[in-house]
Amino acid sequence: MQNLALLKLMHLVSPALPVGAYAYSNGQEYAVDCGWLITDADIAEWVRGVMQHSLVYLDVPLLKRLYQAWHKQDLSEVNSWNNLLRANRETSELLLEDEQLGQALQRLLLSLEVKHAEKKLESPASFVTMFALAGVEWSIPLEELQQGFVWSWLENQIAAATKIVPLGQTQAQKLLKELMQDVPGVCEKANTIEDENIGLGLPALAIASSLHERQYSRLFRS
Amino acid sequence: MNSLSTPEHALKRQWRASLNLEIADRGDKSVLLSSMHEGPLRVQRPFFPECNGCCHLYILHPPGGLVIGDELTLGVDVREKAKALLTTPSAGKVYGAKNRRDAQKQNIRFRIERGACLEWLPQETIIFNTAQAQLTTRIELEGDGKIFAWDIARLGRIASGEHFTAGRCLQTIELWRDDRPLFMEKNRIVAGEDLQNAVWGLQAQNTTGTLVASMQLTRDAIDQLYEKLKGYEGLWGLTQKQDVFIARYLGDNISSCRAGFEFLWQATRTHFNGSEAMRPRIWNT
Repeated sequence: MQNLALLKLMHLVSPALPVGAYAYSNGQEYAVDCGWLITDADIAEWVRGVMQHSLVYLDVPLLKRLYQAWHKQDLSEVNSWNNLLRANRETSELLLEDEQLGQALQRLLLSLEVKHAEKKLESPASFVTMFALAGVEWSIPLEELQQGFVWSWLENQIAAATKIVPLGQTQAQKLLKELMQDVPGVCEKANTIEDENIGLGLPALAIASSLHERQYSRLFRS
Repeated sequence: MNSLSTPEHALKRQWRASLNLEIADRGDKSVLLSSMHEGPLRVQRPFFPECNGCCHLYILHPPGGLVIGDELTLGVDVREKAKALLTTPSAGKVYGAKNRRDAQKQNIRFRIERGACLEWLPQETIIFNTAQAQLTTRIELEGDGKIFAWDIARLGRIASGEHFTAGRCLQTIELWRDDRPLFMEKNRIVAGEDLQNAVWGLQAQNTTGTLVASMQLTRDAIDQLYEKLKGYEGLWGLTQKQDVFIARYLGDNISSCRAGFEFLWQATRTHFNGSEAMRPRIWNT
């Protein structure tokens, strides 16, 4: 990877990127509140499971397809993958999260004068869709972009755990180091998923997210 | 082994069955315009228990379940402004398929035209231990066409002490409107693997159900439904994802899942299509 591309990737996955990812817990808050997740090991199992299923069967394979679609400047393909992603978001909350993050990233890319960021899609752009566009326009190779995507998701999940569980700073870093080992494998497996196998179902996570929508007091947005 | 060398008796064991129905509005009521079947999959004479002309149909599969290599296909076209309610008289079964990996498939496809409305309220599907089940429900809406559907899977014959310790069940539900996907879910349950046992998956429970309906409920209405569902054992999740209402069940109690879904159906029926729910009589038997 060219040095500037590496820096651009670091920019894109930085927790300081003003898109507000820190405001969402992805169902984790309810899972902790109702007592499903108690120990650090429970958190690790939860995060690993979501990474191995949701990310492998949806976000990462679609990041690849959206990257290729933006690269070809094929807007109708961008639209169809973006629609498919939205259909697979399990709940109102998870769809809204993706929509808000996507729009925030789109606004940011617009102000950074990224080409095509102004393109109007059939439905609100998913975060993955805009992340793919940034990757293409900043000449970040796909594999690195995928790893960066999973890494930033992972870092955000662990950051959420430090607030919800709460998990100590050092413990959080240890978990990150442990779970980071999975990232290359996640991307590799995601790249083997055929179109017809895209999609997922994590029954308890979907229920946790539905219940989070109705949770009385929340740290994280719904 | 290629297909040429497959012994004839093995081929004969494969039961492909299909049923294609067409339901159309005839002014005063919706009628079964055509019914084409191949193999042992049938539809009973329609009932009209409602005053809105909604056509109630019972889908029958006399063999009762799917063995190795079976493929069951149900296609229903609901033409403009027609109303239909489909159910099954008994639980579907996917039998054990020890040491085999070829899928036992059930493909359901509904096409619902403008102004039309379909309710698909089947009994649960029981996935026997070692089964290789592949259950797909694809719903295509046109314009303001509407669907109310649920899909319930029970892992293992729990009543006879059998648990799902081998085999797999791939359960897919897709909802499209005018060629655009609105909702998709793919439960990939592999016996013994993490999804079956993990806290984010099935939590080692044996019954999972998903209900989708094209209707919009307010937050208050959903809160009220949720409060009532607390009387039905198991975990319940309700969400209004844009114009699709989704309800999910996870637990060990099949009657609670069925009863909870039926409660949701009865409670929202007037909102969904303007008429009170009329419980199919076959559910009493």
